[in-house]
Amino acid sequence: MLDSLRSSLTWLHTWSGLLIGSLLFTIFWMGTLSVFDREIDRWMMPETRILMPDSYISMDDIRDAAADFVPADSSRWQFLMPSEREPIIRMYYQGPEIFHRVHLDPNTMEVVEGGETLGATGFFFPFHFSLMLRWNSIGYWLVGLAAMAMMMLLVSGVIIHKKIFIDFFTFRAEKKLSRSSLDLHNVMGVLGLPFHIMITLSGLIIFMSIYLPGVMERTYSGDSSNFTNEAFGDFVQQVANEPGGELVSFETLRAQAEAIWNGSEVYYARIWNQSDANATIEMRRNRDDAVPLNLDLVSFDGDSGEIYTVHESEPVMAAQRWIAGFHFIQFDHWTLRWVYFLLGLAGCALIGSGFVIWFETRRKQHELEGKSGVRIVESLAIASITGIIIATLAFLIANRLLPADAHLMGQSRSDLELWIFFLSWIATAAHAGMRSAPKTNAWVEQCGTIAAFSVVAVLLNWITTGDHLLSAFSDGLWAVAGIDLVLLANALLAYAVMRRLAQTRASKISPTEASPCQEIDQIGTEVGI
Amino acid sequence: MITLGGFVLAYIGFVMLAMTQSRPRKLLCEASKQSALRKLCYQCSGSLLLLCSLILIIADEGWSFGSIVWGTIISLAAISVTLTITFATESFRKIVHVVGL
Repeated sequence: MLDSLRSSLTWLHTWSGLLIGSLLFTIFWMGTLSVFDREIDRWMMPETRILMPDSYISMDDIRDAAADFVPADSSRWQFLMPSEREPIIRMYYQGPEIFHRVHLDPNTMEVVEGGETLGATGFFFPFHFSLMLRWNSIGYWLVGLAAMAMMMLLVSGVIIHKKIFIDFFTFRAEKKLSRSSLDLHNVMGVLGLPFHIMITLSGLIIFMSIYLPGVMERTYSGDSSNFTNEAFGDFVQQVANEPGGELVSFETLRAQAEAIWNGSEVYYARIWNQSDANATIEMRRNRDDAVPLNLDLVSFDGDSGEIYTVHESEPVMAAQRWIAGFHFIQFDHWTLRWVYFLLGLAGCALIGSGFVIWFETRRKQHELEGKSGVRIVESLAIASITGIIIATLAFLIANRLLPADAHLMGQSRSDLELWIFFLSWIATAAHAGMRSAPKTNAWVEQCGTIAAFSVVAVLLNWITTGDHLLSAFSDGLWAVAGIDLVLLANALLAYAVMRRLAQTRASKISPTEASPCQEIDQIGTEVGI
Repeated sequence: MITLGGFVLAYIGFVMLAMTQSRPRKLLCEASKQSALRKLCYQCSGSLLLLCSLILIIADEGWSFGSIVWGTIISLAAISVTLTITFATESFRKIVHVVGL
């Protein structure tokens, strides 16, 4: 404990932010991209750039189409009905060894062939909450730890901010980097506070069963399946190990489920043990028209169509689903989708500027004392901020450059895309380590790379699919046009930052420049060093 | 469209609140000092505009969506006011002069 609460919290804010900042930036960046995951999927999967059919889509037609490729003895298969954001039928089925993903064109019920990729729904979204580290749920725990740290950083940040009301609308962009970064950090943190708190807290609540398993174990006497059955309505009949007849008409079940929900549509169906006498079919209720990520489902007997269970969340779970719905933003609301995206970027700016404050306020002191702390932290910050953006763009570029049947040393096309993402990220970290010395400028070079990669991604989309910006607009491919526009805006922003940083560097090495020590000392006092 | 209206109300409300603070006022007005009554007027009208934006959005979107829309767009409106003051100071100064804030 230091001499006052504010000093102690400043110390905690500074060092925990430094320790966890890279992980937090990764989570915020991937979460922000996940707001538009289905739109990025359309960009990365050109074969799915289909316009929604005007005619009714029969679930029986989907069942008949699935019979051509889903193995008869598959233990599970499921599909999502097409929507405005995802105008294809996304289907998954359990094969003899692995779980497959296929897309059907709702106009023809034909399988849509294309280059294998995880896209944003298969990579950006799960990376955001699991870091793709599934072993012992370690990724979930790291993300949970980061979320707890974020909550602490937000609360301590408010307490240690001495001029929270005076500086409410203050951003002195023309001042030294240390001052403008501190202003940016305060503006994004204070003005975006309600969103940052709610998005972080809701992220923790979503994975309550992972973070607080003891509560479920004690309440349900150690049997977690009782919890999932009660909370999520999971129900599958015991396998009879006897051959079943032909599955009942899906359209009949759909009509029954929609009648129970007063006309609300079915968006998802799952079929368990389809060839067994005890096959189970599950229909789930649409989530477009309300905030809660509802768990409403009806389970039917696959042979007779008899209703087994009708599940609706109990009050506590309904509250949890409202919070989950707030976080996952699966509802149909374009204004909120853009607002979430912009506030997600504000969160990234908050975390990134925190790094800059740390090393800019210590740079002179560390140079004088011959310490390497600033150089190490700056390299880490470069790899965490510009590095992950470059890796993301490399992932998009690889998606457009790899042939549809690409494979290498047993790695599939989607594996190769992931390799390119992680190798690019490692390369940016190596570059940051080598080029963050005082007379070099890794920031400028990586911002230039971001600008160039963004433009290259847009050009490659045009060259490989023919869907340039104008044709995407005229063909009604709003998702593709939107992603191209965001990439171009990203290029412009990165170029502007690169110019500003290059000018700052040029002025810094100019011998006529006055010493910035006095102002940095003042900022150092403000941030408590 | 109603949401945009709510955003505009929140934006103007935050401009009013910004005008009660010394640093933005110094940037945007010739006379940076203001009477206590004038300051109170700005604070009340700014708060009232924020309340109007809340009522408008809740009336249009309902409590479930409306609370999220309002809770997020006020952040966006406040950040927009800050960025406008920073990057469009001259234009902002002219508007403030014309409106007579």
